[in-house]
Amino acid sequence: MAHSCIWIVLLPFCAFLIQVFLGKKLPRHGDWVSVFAILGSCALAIPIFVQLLRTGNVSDALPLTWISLPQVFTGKPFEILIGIGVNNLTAIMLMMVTLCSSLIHIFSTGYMHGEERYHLFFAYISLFSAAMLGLIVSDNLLTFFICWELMGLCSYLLIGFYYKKPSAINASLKAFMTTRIGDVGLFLGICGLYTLFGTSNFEQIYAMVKQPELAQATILGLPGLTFIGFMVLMGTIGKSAQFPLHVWLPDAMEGPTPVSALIHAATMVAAGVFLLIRMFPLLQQGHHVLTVVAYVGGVTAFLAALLAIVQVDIKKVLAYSTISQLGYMVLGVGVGAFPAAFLHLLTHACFKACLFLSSGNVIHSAHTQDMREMGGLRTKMPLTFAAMMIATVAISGFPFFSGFVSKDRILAGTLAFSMEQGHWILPVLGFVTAGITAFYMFRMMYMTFFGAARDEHKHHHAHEQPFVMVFPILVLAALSFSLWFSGPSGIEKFDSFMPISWYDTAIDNTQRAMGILAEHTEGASLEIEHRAHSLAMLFSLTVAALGVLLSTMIYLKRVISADKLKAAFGPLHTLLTNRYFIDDLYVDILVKKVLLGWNRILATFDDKVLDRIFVDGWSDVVMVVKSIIGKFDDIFVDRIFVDGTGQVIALGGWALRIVQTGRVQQYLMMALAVLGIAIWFF
Amino acid sequence: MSNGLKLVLFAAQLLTVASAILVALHPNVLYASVSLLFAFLGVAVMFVYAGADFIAGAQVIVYVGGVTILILFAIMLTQWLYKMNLKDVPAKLGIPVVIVGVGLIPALYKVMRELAAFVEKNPAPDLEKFANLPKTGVIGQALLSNYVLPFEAITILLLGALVGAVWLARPR
Amino acid sequence: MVNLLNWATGLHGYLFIGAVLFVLGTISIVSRKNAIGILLGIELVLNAAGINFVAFSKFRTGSIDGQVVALFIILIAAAEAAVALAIILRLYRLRETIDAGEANLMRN
Repeated sequence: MAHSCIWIVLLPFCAFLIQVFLGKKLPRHGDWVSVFAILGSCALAIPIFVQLLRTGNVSDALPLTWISLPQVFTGKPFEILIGIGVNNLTAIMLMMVTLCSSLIHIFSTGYMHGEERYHLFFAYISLFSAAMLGLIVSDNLLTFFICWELMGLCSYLLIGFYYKKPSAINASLKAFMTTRIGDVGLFLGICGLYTLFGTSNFEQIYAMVKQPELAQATILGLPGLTFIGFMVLMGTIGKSAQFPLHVWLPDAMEGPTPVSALIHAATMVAAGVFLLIRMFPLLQQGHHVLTVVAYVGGVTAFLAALLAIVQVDIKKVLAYSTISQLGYMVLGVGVGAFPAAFLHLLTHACFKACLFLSSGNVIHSAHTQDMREMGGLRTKMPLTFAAMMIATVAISGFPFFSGFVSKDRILAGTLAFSMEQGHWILPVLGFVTAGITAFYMFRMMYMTFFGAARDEHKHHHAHEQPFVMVFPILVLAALSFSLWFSGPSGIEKFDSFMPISWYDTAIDNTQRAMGILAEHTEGASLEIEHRAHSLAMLFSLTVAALGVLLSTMIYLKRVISADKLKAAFGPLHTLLTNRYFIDDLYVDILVKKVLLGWNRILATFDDKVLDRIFVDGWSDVVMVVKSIIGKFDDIFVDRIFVDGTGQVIALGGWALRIVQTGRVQQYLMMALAVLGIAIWFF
Repeated sequence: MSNGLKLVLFAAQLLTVASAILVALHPNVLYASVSLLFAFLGVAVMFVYAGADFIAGAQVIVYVGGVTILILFAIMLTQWLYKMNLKDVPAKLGIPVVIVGVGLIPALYKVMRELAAFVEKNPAPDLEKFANLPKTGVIGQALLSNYVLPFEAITILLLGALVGAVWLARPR
Repeated sequence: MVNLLNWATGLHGYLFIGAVLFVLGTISIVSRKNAIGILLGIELVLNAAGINFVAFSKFRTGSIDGQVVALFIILIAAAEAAVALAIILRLYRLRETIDAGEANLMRN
């Protein structure tokens, strides 16, 4: 099983390589290469998932030693172990990612048709898929981080795909830089892990986290596990666009719609939540980490939902909606209900991708992204309308739909948490946000599909999109029903006769593997959980209904005027339209004033001081040394050895030449002298 | 032998040595030749005292009467006399040569003495009687018995030298 | 004085004289520029050899061999002197000089 995981990752990666180098020359620019690659990965992921369904548990591992240095600093050898690990979470994620990615690949063949860099688009999304899949199957944080960064790179490439638009370039840089801040935190967390545990392997961490002596371990004076927990949270805040690093996601809508669907709805942003879930045992052990996580999630969900109300660009609505739903997931992890969070991750992937792709259809058809120019498209694009409606209902949390199941569980978990530990603001935020979600989603639907056409010209030309673009959204819409996850109605009481409990079994086994108890299995907690569940269901249905009602009244029936409301909420409206001025804060004050100044100081220092002294100065030193050596060589070596040798030989020659006079008398003389000596001494 | 005779011999030896020194060191080659003549005479006297009467006679006839005259002829033929160019400054190695030479004398003497000691192992039976013999007959007998080969060879040598010298010095 | 006489007129004296003559002859050979001067030296050397032979003949061996050899020496010396002088004459005719150093084709 782990071996097939290698192929699952490699197939899209090979597609990337082929596309990059040969794509332009292939027929149809090689889109079939990418599509078949990801379909292949999907096919390989299916057996793993099927085994999970059948046995409730999958587990396989393929470890590798990457670096092994003997006894460097400490007594024991320094080893970095990486590898592939398959478990229940992995299996489910693989299935979801490969499926969504395949559908989006197919969609892209229609949406990106005629693009100038068509082959590169497929190269990039193949690379991205490979990275995401690699991240999922990593059994250790190091390769996880590598794939994490790789995904960031692909995000940059894809957001800035329309590189001729300056806004796209800016958006891609903004996305990359903002997530980078989070990534720094994550990397520090990994370093902390190596310091404390000597490993970043998930399984080993789960085992080691329980040791009591680690509770006292410190990193840089801070409690060790807490530090790592917060650093991991930093990574998630960056990647999953939580407050305060959420600013890149709305701008990322500059990229093509399939990109938004794949990266910014279903997969990459979910990676942050996936990280939190995998590190949950460690987060549990840190002090107050989970509480902070919960607040981050809750606040994000609420603020983003508010922002979604005032958006006029269809994709921006969905972007803020994504941020909000991610907030829900993070909130779920924070209150300890991470099975619920993970389930929401899965359901959100399906219906959000459906929403994005459908909006892509709408954009393609109406040639605009501004909802104020749309209207009455229901008749023109019935299939798209149907799919989008299903997804909207799902996200709003209606029974019979998947969103209800997962959101309900999160809210129940939040309620139970606050019943046990206070923090009442969290469930309040959760429920209010649910209502707001329903409100703005239906607002979007009404403005787009219902009512009179606001722009006759566009309305006239609108039409349903080709099959390759409609098929994926229909599939995703079909997956947005609750019956895949826990029964037709989604309400457990009514569905208990349906044996669709694959998710619960899998997650229970996962929790056991992680060494944490299934939530709330003891007596008193169980009681609270039941009560919370019922209450939550009640509340969520109520707020959802309220939201839909309000939205209908304002946008469909026009009973309440939107403009009057806008005037009434004047200052709030301004605040929302300016996105709480956070972007301005970051760019104008933080970047332009603070960081730029610091940058200038450092640049000047580098140039005047470092370059002058170390670089130029070094060349001076070298020149001096060179002249010294030159003189030395010239005087000493040349004179003595080179010339000297010649002169010694010349001297010898001169000496010998004296002897060779050619005069016999002298030869005789010399012979006699030798003879005399010989006689005297011998 | 009486001391007087010994004295005469000694005087002859002194004469020889002095003449030889002149031969070696005198710049004028004509003077050196004449000194050589006296050296030959001295040697002849020494031969007489050594019981080599015939040899002494041969020495005087051949050397004094032949070789020296020959040398004088050669000197005259090479026109040094008329050019008055008789200053023969010894070569640059003059002084060191003399020193080496003087150093060589004891060496040679020592060698000869050891040879003498060696020969002492077989002393001759009648040295005195032999010494007073007239040697001419003895030499003649030895020449034709023991040394007949060298004798004949020398005749050929003399012939060769004669012919060679005549040929070498032939007029152009 | 008598001892000196006895020594000088004994074997040792003859040998000494022989050594002296030999050396002086060698000095003459080596240091004289004039070719005839060299010839003089050669003659001296040959004489010295002859003296040695005769001395040994008288004082040690008591046989005639030494004198016969001395005779041969004299003969050979004469022949050699003749030839040498012929050569010198030839050289003189060729070079207008009998300087031994001039008979030198070697480049010094």
